[in-house]
Amino acid sequence: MSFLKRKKNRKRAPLSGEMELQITSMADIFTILLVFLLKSFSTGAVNITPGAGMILAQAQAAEAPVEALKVEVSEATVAVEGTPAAPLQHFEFNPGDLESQGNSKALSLVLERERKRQVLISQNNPDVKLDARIVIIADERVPYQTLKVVLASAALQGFTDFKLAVIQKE
Amino acid sequence: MRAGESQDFELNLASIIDCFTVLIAFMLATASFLSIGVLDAGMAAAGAEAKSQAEPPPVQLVLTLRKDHSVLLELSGRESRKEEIPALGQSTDLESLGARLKATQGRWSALQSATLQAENQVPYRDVIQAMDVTRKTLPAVLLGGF
Repeated sequence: MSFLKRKKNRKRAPLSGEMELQITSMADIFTILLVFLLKSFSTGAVNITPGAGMILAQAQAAEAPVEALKVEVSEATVAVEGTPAAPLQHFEFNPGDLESQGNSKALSLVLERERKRQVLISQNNPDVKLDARIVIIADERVPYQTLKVVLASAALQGFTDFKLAVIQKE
Repeated sequence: MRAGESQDFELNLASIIDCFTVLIAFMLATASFLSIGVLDAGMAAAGAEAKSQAEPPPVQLVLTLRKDHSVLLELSGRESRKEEIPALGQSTDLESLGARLKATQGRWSALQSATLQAENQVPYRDVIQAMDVTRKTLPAVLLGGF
């Protein structure tokens, strides 16, 4: 008997309206994906999120981020812990805002408030020590002149351990 | 085992898949695949080095980034020397900078830090790049010029 004839004679199983998807393998894939995403999500307690439109510089020799006061320098503003502290015009401070020591009046006021808050906490809680660390999250287009003002303002309030946030290059 | 009870059963995975789909969609939407790190930088201030170290290093190194992408290396102390690394087209010659720093550190092994400063209009990106190269040779980089 030829192959065609045999095929013709074979009885087809009755078609059922019910169909079952084989989803066990799909569940496996989803579990692996979920574990991978959970792992790469954000494992540490430190959260550094650059603002919209901000381009961070890249570096290879970067270390793990630390939890400290965050100062963000973007095109239009300098923000301390997400709150705008001093306005900028195309990455530059308003000349009227600058003081003789090279710091910004507006930024220094906000940083001074933060420092006082830290001092108050450390006075009431002996376990908490004054932290000199400050994380600078600056756009890569910021001129050094602006950065100098930010650093000088921070240094005047006792924040002298600068941590510059960068994107880690592979 | 009771009569009629079969050990062959199937898990109802459809609801689990639903949960996973929602979770994965949420995580993909919120996940940031960029790895952010920090570069440690101190502040270069007069007397700071003398306070922190019992014996000051025999030489001090100051790197100055210029607007035209050239770099000036100034060595002071027991060896006093100025060296300029010309720009490589429209960018800083980081390879030469790294090589010169290695050569300097080879001569003065006690040299462990450098002060990095830049002209006013030099973008932050160039400062970070120079800092990144410097940190490969010298562990401590201090920011100066303010």
